[in-house]
Amino acid sequence: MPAGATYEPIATTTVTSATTVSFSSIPSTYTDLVCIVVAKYNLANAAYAWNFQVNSTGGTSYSETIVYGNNTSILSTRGSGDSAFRPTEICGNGTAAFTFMRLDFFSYSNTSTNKTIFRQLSSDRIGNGAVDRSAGLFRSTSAISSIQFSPFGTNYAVGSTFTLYGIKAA
Amino acid sequence: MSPILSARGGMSAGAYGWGVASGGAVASFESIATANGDGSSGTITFSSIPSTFRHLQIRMLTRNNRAASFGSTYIACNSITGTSYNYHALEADGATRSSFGAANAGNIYLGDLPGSSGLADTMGVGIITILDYANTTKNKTFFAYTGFDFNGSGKVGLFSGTFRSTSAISSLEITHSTTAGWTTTSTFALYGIKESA
Repeated sequence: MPAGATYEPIATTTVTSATTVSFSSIPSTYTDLVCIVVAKYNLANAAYAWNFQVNSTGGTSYSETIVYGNNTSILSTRGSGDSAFRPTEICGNGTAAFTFMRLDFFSYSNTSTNKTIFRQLSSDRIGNGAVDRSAGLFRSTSAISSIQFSPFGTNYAVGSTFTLYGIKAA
Repeated sequence: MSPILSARGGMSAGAYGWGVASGGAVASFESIATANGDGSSGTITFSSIPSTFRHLQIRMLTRNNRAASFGSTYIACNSITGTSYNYHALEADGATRSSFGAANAGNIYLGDLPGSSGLADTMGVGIITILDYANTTKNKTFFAYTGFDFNGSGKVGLFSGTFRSTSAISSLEITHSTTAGWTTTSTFALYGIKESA
């Protein structure tokens, strides 16, 4: 028998004017977290760097294996011993499009294992863009209680949304 | 302290197709069952799957006791192996990209996931979606993505597959490349997705 509804919204931020966007005090009662980001920078149409962290932790705790396409090539790269996760790109406000990113945080409150995060990203800048998939690792057995999304030297554009969901297993 | 940052605006979860309950509507993403590794069996089975959903999804967090850094993972249906499956794969390891497939296979390949020699306390993950699993007029389509990272090595992959049968799927079997068991820290969660009424 199904155990009932299991996919629940936890919090949403719709940006009016923001630098870092954060989810804090994330309840530990779910099995997995899903974060849906639809965002862009308040800059001209181009590809920009951005990152996100968990538990406000920097240092060398992040790594990821990435496969991505950039309109001309398919590539695979990795980050190791990094201070944050680094999605392939985020677009600027010069187009009507937003960059879409979905993050799956598996067993985020488990205190016996490091945290594996799966990322899907799609960014179309009308004639250019990127799509990526990555398996990322936050090397800590601490439960994830917060997530921070940090733009580089600018604000997220008005209308950018960040939504956090919890998924419960039976 | 509340995790909420500001008032809700913009799109609902339903805009992303997840059908999350709101305003009293019936939720459409439901947990069916969860299975855990027992350290000795290399097969995880979901059986007697109800036919009342439209699609199925498995979310898994895995590691197996195979004496290697990682090993291949597979899924089959209704205890059928033989030649009933086709699949295609796109895999990458941080440097090399590969794409390949198979016809008339005995299962659907889901990529490489951690074995006992991999980075300690680190699991692989996967999301497998099975579309129209109970439909008796269609072959069954699978879509999956899996991956792991060991801080210096790892893999990520996207996979599609077909179970060439119009029979409803009533059981699913997840295995890996040896008989070594799934670790007790491995979890496999089966969800059902309902269509709108």
